Amino acid sequence: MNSKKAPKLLRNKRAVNAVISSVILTGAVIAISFAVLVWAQSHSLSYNEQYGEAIDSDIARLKERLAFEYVFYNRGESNLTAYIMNCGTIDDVTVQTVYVSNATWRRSFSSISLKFLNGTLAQSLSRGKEGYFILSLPTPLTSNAIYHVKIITGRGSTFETTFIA
Amino acid sequence: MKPHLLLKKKLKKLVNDPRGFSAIVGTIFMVIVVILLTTNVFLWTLSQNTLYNEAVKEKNQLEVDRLNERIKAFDATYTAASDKVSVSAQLQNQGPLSVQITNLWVRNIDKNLYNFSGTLNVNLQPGGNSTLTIDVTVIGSAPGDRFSSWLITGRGNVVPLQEREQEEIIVAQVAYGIGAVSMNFTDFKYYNVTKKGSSWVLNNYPNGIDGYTVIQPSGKDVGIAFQVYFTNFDIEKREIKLSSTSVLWTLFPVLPTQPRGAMWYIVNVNGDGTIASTFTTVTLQYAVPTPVFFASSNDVKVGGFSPSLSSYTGTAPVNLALVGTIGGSPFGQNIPFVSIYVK
Repeated sequence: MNSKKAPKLLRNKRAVNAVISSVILTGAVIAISFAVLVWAQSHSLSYNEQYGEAIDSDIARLKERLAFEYVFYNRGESNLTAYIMNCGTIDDVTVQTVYVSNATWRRSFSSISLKFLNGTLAQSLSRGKEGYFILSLPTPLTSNAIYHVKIITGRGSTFETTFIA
Repeated sequence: MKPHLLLKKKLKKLVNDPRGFSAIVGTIFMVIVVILLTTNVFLWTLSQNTLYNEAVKEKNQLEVDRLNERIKAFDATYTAASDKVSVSAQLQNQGPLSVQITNLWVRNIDKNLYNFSGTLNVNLQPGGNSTLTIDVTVIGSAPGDRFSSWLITGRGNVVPLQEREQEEIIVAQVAYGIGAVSMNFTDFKYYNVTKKGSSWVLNNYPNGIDGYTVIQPSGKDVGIAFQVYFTNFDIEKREIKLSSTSVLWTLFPVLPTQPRGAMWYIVNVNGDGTIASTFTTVTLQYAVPTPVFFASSNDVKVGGFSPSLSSYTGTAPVNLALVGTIGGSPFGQNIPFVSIYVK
């Protein structure tokens, strides 16, 4: 039955045209669909990456925790030494910026030289490690006044304590 | 026309129409693409949110643990000697979690000096007790300075040490009433003194012999020396300096009307047990138990060292007549001390 129809179909020009146009149209639709798929996939991957990075960053920030062991103000040398410990659950905690302030005065320090307790330089603090940094203050602090020390870490977490100068 | 025949006719027409067929294929593809992408993004977001929520829960748990840490550090005492501060305290974990002590900080309040012990590794189980005894170097500290200290736990908590206040007040009040110097009755010793070359030495130094029963040596160039531990509890925490006229003296009630005596003047003893031929004042720092030796039959500064023995035997009460200065002012205290039996 089919073998009889096929030669007839091939001889019919209108029928061949319909098949060819169908194939071309379907092929074009499939090609465009794949293009759209790839484009959308790349966009969703990019979104995934950005979202993943944001989440990872937030998680890392959540895991950070610094404890202030002691803050010592040396009036003679006009410097402030802050002793800290990484008591969080993530390594590589760096000190990006430190603010020293009171109600009327504020000073920021961005080049922080972090050291371990034995005096060797430290790029960052691992879990459970203790370290310190010294800040040279441009002006002497008011005696017996309360000051705040705020640390901003490399991941953006903030930790704050107070001391009496 | 019946509905199923109508549907069949329409489907046949749609399949035969190339434009309609491609639209169906395109729609199916678009739906698949949308479903795939949406599912992918949804699942990915869900997994990331799960990770974030776990991190938040972990952080909250850490905070709760940190807040639940309850360490009591009490009965703290400080003994400063030559830049070294010995800190002793009782620790009690009153919380539900085990606690690790990582560091001890000591601050000299009087001189604004500080230092830390370095990494400690003291672990306290819930309900556990421990005695902490640590030497911390605080350069410039001297006996009599006041200190404060605090512990750092592994979770970042700061635990201040509470000083033994009540006991100090009681001791200080007693000292104010009966005098500034107290004696240690459990560490009272005597030594046989013999001559080696030109030096006089304490035999069996520093162990000595229990001081309550004294068996005097016989022979030439021998004597007896007593060692008493004094602690200065002056209420104003001043230094006491004992001069060469301080003496340990005894009375032997040989007859009720004729008591007899024996005495041993204060001396300096070197680290090897040799009695110094000269005398320098003995300093009693506040709250620091200090061994003081009595061995000479006369004031060393006046007549040099001379060994002393008792001419009498039997039971004798021992008295301490201490003379010197306290905070630069004259000081004198007579203390009825122990009783000894001399053979």
